[in-house]
Amino acid sequence: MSVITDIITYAAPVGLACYGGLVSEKVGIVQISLEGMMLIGALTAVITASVTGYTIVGIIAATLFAVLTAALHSVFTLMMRADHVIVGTAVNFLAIGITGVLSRAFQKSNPTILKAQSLSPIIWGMNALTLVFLALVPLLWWLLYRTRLGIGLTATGEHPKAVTAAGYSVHHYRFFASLGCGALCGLAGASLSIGISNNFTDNMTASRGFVALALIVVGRWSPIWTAVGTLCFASLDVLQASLQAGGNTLLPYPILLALPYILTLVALGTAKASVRPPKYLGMTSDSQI
Amino acid sequence: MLIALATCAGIVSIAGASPVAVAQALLQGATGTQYNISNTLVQTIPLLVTALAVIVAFRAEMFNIGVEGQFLLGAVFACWAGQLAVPGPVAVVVTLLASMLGGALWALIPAIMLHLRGVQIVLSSLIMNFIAVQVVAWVVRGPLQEAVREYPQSDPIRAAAELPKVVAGLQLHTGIWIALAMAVFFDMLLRFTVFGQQLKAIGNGLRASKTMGLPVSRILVSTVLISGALGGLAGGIQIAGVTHFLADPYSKGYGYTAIAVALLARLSPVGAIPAALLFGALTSGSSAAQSAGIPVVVLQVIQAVILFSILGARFTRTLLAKSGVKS
Repeated sequence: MSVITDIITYAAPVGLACYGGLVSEKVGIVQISLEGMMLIGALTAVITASVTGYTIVGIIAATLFAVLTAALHSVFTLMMRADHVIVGTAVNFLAIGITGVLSRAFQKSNPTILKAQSLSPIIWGMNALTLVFLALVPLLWWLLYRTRLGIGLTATGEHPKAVTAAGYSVHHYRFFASLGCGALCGLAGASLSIGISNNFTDNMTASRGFVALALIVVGRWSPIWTAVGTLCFASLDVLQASLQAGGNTLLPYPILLALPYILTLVALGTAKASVRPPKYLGMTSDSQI
Repeated sequence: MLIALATCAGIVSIAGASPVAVAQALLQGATGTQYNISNTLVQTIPLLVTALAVIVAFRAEMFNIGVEGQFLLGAVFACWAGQLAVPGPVAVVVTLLASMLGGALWALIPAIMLHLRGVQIVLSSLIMNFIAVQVVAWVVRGPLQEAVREYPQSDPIRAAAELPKVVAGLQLHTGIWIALAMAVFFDMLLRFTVFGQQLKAIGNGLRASKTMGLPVSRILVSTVLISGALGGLAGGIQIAGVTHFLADPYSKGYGYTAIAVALLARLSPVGAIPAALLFGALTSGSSAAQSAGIPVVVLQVIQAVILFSILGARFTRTLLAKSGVKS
């Protein structure tokens, strides 16, 4: 695999999660739970792919279960109007716990179940989900900025009253975006577990969902810039891995590991001047709509 | 509540054990013996102090989820200060003050980013956590590594810098009094002082507070710093009271669990005492349950279920209150 393929493959899980978070934040829902939904997707993909022998089943099942998790999130945030950060934290706890319990339970009944065949490369060494990540850059841009649906979603996060006045349902848009976010996180999880490492390990998402949240801000809530940010982050990751493998002694390796995060932080600090989040991000109560 | 219990029981059964046995193991592990009770309290201390850090910040709607990182930096600073040749009883004080400084300095970066560029704390403080993990990994291999340079861990702090045990032979240390005192102190502070009222005002209405002429930015920055200092103190207490040295990885995720504790306590500092005790007992009990064949991850499910049931209960209560008004 060439370096560029490597970078794009490693960018895919974070990037897909970014898209999910982006769609959800557009309508005003804070998604701390990207991480949890990715984990659920990752485990589901491995187990279903390994049981059925088809990776495509793994991808579909991962999407489905992540959407179910997103539905749980929506029940609490949209129907019960609970605080988004609290619900997201709870979903993450649940996901870490449940994937841990279930993966152990499944492994007990079948020791090889957590090892699935991985996605086969389609072109230039890139697998289907990596291609989805790339294809979604223009697609998502078109959807968000050039279609009625996209305008409606953006308006829900910016000016929900206008959406209601125009005769559309703020709630429908929010549910749609939230479930869509789940689906994308399911794909993100699958691209991690059957795309990169072809097995499942505890907490294997390793905070990628949180990094995705930061990258959305760095990418100024635009699918194109978010994808660019993700690719930069992934190249740092790949660089750091190759430096470490090459026996570099110039910099202690913890500093290398921290480098992508430090740069994300710097990007956050410099990007903010001209950007702001969707106006109604995180709002829960009726009176605010 | 019943649903919550049923869910827990269901998940435990999936994990391949009888729910009753797990409940027994948890209870036994948390309260069974003198040693277990001491262990429960030892687990409660860092949870309580980190929860206070979360509470102070969340009161002003500053979602500082970087308490984990502040905890780690507090531990690093405490470990460094604990090895200084400071005479007698001053050593503990210096160690703990250093830990507060470390936590506050770590929180200073997100605070400055908020103040100058308006970067949301919820993101910046979170990213700082990942960096903090690497800072710990680096110092135990570099500047603070043990003299023999064999393992990635530091030398122990000097005996004078340790927090004394409450009862000889048990793990429980005097950090418990510090934690309890902090809870009461911050309860008073938030309830009765101008600062507490200002936080409440900002938390309830940022724009209104600005219009009223409150120095919002200054108050928020100092809130984040206080929160960071508390997070650091928790790390310092852990070094001075429990481990006495720094290793990599150091935290068991106290800073994250603290969020659940704080929310369970409905952001009340005194309320955080029983909430932290509950999670402390769960942690201590789960290590016993582990020997009964239950993986630690079950604990996380139980935490999540508790959070969800609290949210559900609050929703039902507001529904009931609303219908009460109508009739």
